[in-house]
Amino acid sequence: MIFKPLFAGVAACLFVALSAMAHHSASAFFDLDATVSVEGVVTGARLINPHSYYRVTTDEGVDWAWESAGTWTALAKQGWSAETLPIGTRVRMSGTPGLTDRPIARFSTIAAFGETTGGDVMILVGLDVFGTGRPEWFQRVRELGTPCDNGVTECTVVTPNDLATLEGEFGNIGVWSDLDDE
Amino acid sequence: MIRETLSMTFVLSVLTIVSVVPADAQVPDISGVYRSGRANTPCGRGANFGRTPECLVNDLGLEAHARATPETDPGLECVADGLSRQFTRLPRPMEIIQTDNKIIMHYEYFDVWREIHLDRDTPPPSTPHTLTGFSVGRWEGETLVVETSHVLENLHTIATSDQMTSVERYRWNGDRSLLLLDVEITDPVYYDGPLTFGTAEFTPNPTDYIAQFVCTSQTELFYGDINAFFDEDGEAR
Repeated sequence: MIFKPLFAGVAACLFVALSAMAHHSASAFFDLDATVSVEGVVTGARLINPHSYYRVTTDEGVDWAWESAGTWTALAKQGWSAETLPIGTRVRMSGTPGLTDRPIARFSTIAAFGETTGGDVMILVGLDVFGTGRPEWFQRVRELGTPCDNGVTECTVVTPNDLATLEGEFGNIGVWSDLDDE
Repeated sequence: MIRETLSMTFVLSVLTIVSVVPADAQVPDISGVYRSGRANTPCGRGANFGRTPECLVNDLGLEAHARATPETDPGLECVADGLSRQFTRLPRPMEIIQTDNKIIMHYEYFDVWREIHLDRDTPPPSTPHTLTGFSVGRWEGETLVVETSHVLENLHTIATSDQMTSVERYRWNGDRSLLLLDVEITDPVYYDGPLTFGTAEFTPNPTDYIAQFVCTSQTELFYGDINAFFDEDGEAR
């Protein structure tokens, strides 16, 4: 599939990249200075306030709870719905890990691919709740790709060739590239 | 269901008031939908919370702050923020509805409604303590001054006792592009002096609106097993 060239060797793809735990986190629940990326399949969604959750099951069978930053109401105002990430969608979730020892994290970016996206990759960026702006690569993603037709404002569809370009320009950042190399 | 019914009743009441009593043309018009401002606390956040020259928190206040663990965060059980925490929250949609005798502040997050009574100087007898307390207001020139008391104890972000009082001052900036808020909190139980927050900037956002906010408990989702919330087809139970 489209990710194979980039994800060679990560068929059983679960890799957690954690930086040193910060003890001055802005949140009592998540380590906002750390990052985590996980690949798997959406196996459930609770689209509720104050935070929504996607259950993402890895190929090893680990069930992750991925929380939205901000409220579901705010995401819905940006076009998110139950159809945005249907059950069965293969996704790469990236964000900040929870401070517990459970598989829970808060997503900042979701790359959806596989049959659901017809061979292309849909890159969704979550809410900018802290007002720190979008990731530096997001503008480039928009330049290369096309807006999603699902009504979500912060969503871009890119091709496998676009991914290769992004990999070359920004390196391996987990959102679209080989988790093993993080 | 009861909560939704009450909220709708309240909205209809407010709309009735608005339609009957137009806003006083002699005072600034601050009505509208905003992206709320965030007032910086003078006490630091989380593990950095502590006594400084600007934050004279005492031992009782520090003890209260220590009780603010993630597990006791009221939001997990859909309980709205205490007033002192509300001032420091991340920017979110809120609306100000302005009439001659009341200002209504409606925050989308947790569907919080505040009534600012412009036709009273003091709370009525036997006023109960609530999350956002009882607020009286007045116009001082172009500034709306809001004084609040009868607020329940809040532990999170900035601990305040049920004896806290606050003074909020809302005013437009020079070109009316931002509504500015200055807050001072006085709490004789947890602090040895007043707390002055950083100025919060409310950005008018006329294309936004306040959506209904239905909240679902998150405690089990966050601390329990997420699988308990889905059936075998992945549908929410």
